[in-house]
Amino acid sequence: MTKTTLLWLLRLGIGLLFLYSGLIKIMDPHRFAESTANYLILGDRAVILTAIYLPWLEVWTGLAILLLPPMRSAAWLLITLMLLVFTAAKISALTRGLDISCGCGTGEEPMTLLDVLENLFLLALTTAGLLLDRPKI
Amino acid sequence: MTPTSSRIPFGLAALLCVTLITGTLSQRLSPDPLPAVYTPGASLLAEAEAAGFTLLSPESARSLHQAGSHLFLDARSLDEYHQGHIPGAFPVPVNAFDLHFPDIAPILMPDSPLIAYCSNPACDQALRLAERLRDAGDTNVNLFPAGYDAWSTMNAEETRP
Repeated sequence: MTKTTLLWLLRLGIGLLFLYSGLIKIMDPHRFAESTANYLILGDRAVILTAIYLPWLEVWTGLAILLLPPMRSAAWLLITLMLLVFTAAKISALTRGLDISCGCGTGEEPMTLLDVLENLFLLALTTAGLLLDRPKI
Repeated sequence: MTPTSSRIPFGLAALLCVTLITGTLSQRLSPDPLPAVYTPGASLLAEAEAAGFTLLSPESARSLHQAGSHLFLDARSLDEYHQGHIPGAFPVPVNAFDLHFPDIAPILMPDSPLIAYCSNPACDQALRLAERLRDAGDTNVNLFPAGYDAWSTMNAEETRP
């Protein structure tokens, strides 16, 4: 498998994941606000701002990775930063013993260590994207 | 600065701008926008009402408890249940519903009057439990949104000398 094919698989996997993840949050912002608040990290105003803008950031970074080559490097950087924040939030919630769902998708299953491992795996993929997916000059 | 790295600030600015614009527009144009400040439990209560569940006040929950007409179901974790619960309530942690529901299923009829509760209006476990019970066939599921926190406060006030 060539590097180009691998890069496209990476773009498709991560791009579609972020696009989907943003769209389902946009479709139900109230539920996403509840999920965000359940982490007990952000203040009441910050929860609302996060619920308004974060899903759109996921959508646009996902689209940029898939379709907008000039913005691809910036999108990889933003996605990697988002994943770092999400992973830290999950670790924080687990260490505080919060019995909450992760708020990452449609499921209501309680968060476990597996969710953190999943994030770390995605973080490895996005770091690879950030380092390898440079536009040809 | 290489041409590649010079694209990153441009890309960051563009992505953040388009995020700000679309986020603000979606909030402005939404028929059900988010409030300026998050109110714990507000959207859960709206969701519960929209789903057709009867929401009980602490006073109503207490009179039904005294009448013994309804079965109280505790949707919180087993740890929380063992730390304190409404007298007579059954533990049905919604996060392990499939494991615990069979314990109470034999005593339930389709129209058994049930009251699901968790800690307070901000927790979603009671609503999720009510949804699971309705899916399991019970047609008379009620919610006590103020939950165990309100119940224990109410009882502490009554027993205070």
